[in-house]
Amino acid sequence: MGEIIKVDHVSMNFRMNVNHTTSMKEWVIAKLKRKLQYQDFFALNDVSFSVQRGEIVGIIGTNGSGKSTLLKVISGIYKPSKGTAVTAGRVAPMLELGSGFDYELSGRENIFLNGAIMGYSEEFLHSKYDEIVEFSELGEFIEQPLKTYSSGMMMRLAFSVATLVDPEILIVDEILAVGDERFQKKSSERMMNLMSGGTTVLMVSHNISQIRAMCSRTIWLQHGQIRMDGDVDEVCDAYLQFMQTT
Amino acid sequence: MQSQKGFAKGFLLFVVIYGILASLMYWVVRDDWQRTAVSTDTVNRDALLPELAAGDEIDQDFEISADSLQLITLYANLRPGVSPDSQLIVSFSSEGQVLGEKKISYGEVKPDGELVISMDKISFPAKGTIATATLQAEGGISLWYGSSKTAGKFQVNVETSGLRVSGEPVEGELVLIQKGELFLPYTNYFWPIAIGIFLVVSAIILYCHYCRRKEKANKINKGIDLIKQYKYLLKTLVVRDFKIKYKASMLGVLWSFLNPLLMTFVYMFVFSTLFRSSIENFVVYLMSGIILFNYFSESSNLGMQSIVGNAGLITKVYMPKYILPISKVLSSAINLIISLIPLLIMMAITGVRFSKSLLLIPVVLIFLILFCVGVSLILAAAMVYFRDVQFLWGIFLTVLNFLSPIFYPETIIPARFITLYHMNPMYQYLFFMRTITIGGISPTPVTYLYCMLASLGTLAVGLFIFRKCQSQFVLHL
Repeated sequence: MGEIIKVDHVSMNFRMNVNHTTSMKEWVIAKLKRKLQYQDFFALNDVSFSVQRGEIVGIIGTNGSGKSTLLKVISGIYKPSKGTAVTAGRVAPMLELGSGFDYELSGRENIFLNGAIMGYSEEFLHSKYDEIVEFSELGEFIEQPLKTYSSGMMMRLAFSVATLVDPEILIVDEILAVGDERFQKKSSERMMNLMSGGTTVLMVSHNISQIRAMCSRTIWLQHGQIRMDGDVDEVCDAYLQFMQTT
Repeated sequence: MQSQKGFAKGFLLFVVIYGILASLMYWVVRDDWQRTAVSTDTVNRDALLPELAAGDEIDQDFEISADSLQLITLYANLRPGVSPDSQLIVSFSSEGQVLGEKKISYGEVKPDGELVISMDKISFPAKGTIATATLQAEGGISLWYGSSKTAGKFQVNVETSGLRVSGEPVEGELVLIQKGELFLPYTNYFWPIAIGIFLVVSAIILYCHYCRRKEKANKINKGIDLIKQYKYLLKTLVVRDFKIKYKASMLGVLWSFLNPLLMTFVYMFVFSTLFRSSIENFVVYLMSGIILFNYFSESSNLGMQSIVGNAGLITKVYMPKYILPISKVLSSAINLIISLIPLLIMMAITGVRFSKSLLLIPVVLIFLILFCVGVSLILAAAMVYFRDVQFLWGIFLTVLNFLSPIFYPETIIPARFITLYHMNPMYQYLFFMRTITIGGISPTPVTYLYCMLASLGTLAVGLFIFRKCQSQFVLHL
């Protein structure tokens, strides 16, 4: 066991430029006129928690409560404006499937490209390659350029790459349903397998029953702060009650 | 224990490779860093002196311009029908001492009047000393003299002095060209510097190894780990960029080959009448300029777009962002290396001697690539904040194209701007490239030093700026 994610007093401040200067001229003029105004927006405000190895944590909250921002901070995409977020393992972010794909390249080349983006070595990807192709059920299409794929095929490939490389930390943002019904079943089985196999999972979902079914612990975020952190049923009940009253 | 052994092996490998490379480099540059050819400017052939009859004497004072003077060239004109056995006697003296004498029969005068006198067996005093050449003849010969020089495009008046005909001073100067060698001290410094660099690098390696064993945090080790982890990504991105570039074209990679050739022909067609005559081997001169400058403009443009263009990736996945501009510069470098093949073919066709200095091509390429990485890092970071940078850079590249000697000879630049002109790093890379290809020799260490400062300096600035900004990129995309 042991801590695998430690989020320590994290604040994420988005400085919104009221003037919307994107050209140098506008910026210089605004600066000279001292009209360069900013509006601070705290997407996360002093959030602290830690996750043990193998835990499956659900994150819930209303729209704009900072869930996705939190996942991006933990993935290392955002650098928090205050505090630190430390992860002790390889993170596979499934924020948007297939974001590292290149449509000109073949499925095969994309498997290696996407794996490389996640920081895996060539040998490792070679050893996993057959398994990934098999799971994605793409067959001979794997040699075709990605631009010829249907969106379902693309999603299947992306899901296969993200989950078959045995990440230590899997970060999931509302993307458990991929492909047709059969593949959906297969992919949720795969997720279950990963979770029982010791992968630490952080997932964001609006589907409370899904959270109840999969997670052992839940964090409820509101206005960028932790409202509640604890047992899955307890937090979910409180959240549902809160949603009904407002 | 295992890692200890692995480290010892790796270090030994480093020592061996460094030793081999340093020795190879020494072999290539040794002679060129010891002496360099020197030739004095040519005075224009403005007029002929009166015919040199028996008993006449012409004296010309000249400053010795070489450490080892090998040839002196004069220009003479023969009266038709004069006997080719007649002799011109040139004697040299300095500070009242006779240095030696050369007898040349008229038959040695070439049809255009060129008269080359070899200076062997005459020992001249040190460079900078004034010597006097005294000419006597048996009639029928006259010598060219002048009072102006051509320096590039410009006519410069010579400080007319030192010419006397039968003791009477004459305005102007004999057309007298000295050719010889200058001695350079640089070879002596080669090994001390090579060993110095070796010691510094070794010390850094050992320190990093020590930190690793003691598990102390160390920035260099962290960087090495990052490179180790992401080197496969870098390779994948470089290969991808290169593959995609020619994916839809019929000739594919052949374009890397054809492009510089076609560009060279276009430039040649346009500029051949303007500059050709004053440049030695215009085709190779032009082509080397086009190849290097194209690389700079292509890689800096791609590098500049690399962060903004991959916004979709950066906002979704964590990765070291340095990789994006670096991969663009490296994938263009494949192109650059391929386009060296037509350059070498052109050199062979135009009869350039392939000398060992060509082994220095990787050196200038590494300098150039590092420079481009630095520039790309700066531009990529700036581009995130201000998209105007791309338009400014397009204009800047055009300006730089004209400020670098790509299709014109350096000599058209007025002398008062030349120091400023030489500060352009592209000038230095072009000069380096042409010295080792057309010139067939290594440039002096001054050029190496300048190229190195320009490359490493730009790289350091680029890394610094990029590092400062990179965590903010995602907020501005």
